[in-house]
Amino acid sequence: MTVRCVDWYGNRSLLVVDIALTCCALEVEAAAGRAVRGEVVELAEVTAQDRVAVVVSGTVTDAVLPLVREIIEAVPQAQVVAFGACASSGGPYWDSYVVTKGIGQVCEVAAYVPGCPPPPEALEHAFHEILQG
Amino acid sequence: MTADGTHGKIRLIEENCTSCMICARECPVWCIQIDSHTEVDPTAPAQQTGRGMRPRTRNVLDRFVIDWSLCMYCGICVEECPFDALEWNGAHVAPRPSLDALSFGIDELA
Amino acid sequence: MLSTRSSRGETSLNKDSMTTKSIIEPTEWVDRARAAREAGYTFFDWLDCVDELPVEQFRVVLGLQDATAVPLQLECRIPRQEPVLDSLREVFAGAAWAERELADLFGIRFRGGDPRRVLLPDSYAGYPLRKDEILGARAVTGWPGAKEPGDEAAAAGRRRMVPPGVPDPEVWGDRAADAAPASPAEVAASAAGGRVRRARADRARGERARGDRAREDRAREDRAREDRG
Repeated sequence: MTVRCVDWYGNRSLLVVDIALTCCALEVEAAAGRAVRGEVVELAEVTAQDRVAVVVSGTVTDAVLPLVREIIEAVPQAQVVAFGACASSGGPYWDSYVVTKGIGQVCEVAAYVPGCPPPPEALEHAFHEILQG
Repeated sequence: MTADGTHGKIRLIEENCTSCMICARECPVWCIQIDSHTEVDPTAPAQQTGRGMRPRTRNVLDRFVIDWSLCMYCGICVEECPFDALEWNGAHVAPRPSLDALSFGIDELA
Repeated sequence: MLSTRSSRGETSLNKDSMTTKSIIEPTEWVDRARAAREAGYTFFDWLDCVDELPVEQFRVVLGLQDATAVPLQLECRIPRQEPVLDSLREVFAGAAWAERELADLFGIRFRGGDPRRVLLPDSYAGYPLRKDEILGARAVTGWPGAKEPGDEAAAAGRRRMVPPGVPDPEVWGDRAADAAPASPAEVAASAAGGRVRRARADRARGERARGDRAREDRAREDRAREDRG
């Protein structure tokens, strides 16, 4: 499994890994299209000084959960952003027999972004919280 | 009614709410919680004339919470409210560092 | 919405029902699918199922198209208590995947089909798309809409409300120990939501619905038999 980050602002102030699961991923891509200035950074190049955000965008099904955990655990100093209702709480699928009720069930989350889906600006807003925090 | 109809945040107009429970019941994800109690309504005309009828009562809203981490922003609650106590309020709900912070009560929904 | 006299290919005025539909006996399922393919309906579009509760049967429907995208639907009814049907994978290889999905979601066994699960984990017990399958999370989570407006005491006389998807606990979930298990039709009807109805009205409604459906089915089969014969 290869995990890559994107240097979001092009000044190494924030590296972002996007775990693109379902519809919310489209909003993250829209945000990326507008905002991303930098290049891809391999995991091996990440240093202790880097801030790294791991965005979980979409529904975390039980089937996909082990892979999502693996990615989060592979990323050093990961700050998890639960993007959208599904990643935050299971969202409209909270009652499903095969959905994890939010990625917060299995790891620490730095920012919960409400929405179904949230607008692309909400991702920037969450990043500012992490950059400041 | 709504400003531009954008499905951002939902506002509660407390004075219009009669605690009828319709929004909480229609919500597909069960993200609205309501508590209310019954009080005698001193302003009801029958009450004031004191004609010996049964006391007129009204329901008073105690607690109204929307859990934004569950909300789908479908707007069914806004459409179903018979008293126009819910409306779209434009701006989106901001990201928060915890799930608890995403449950908004009456004051935060105003 | 459905077309009439399907095997003659009549269409009604509603453009949604331009599709020719034929009802097939389970024993003829594979042969008729092969005949349709040989008649030009070479494109396997979809294979799906409807749980016909309170009628105790599954309706399996095959959607095909010919080279000009003219659609054809073949449907077949199988008993809900023993849902078995021959696999179509020899006629349409693509049907194997759809059959695995129906096996996972409805519990239909396809003779000669691919026995592997496609969607659900091996450990999953139950058939999620059956109408008597209850979402456990809904049944155990307190529904915010269960409260009546105002004080508890004021609501004492009203019948309880249950949300869609949650049956009356007396039917499913908290049934009396000495009561026989509720039938699938009772569970499905109870999970429709709304005010909890009295048992007698429910039974009467269920029987009427079953009677009506059985009459409709017989009438439709009679017409289809006339057309074929």
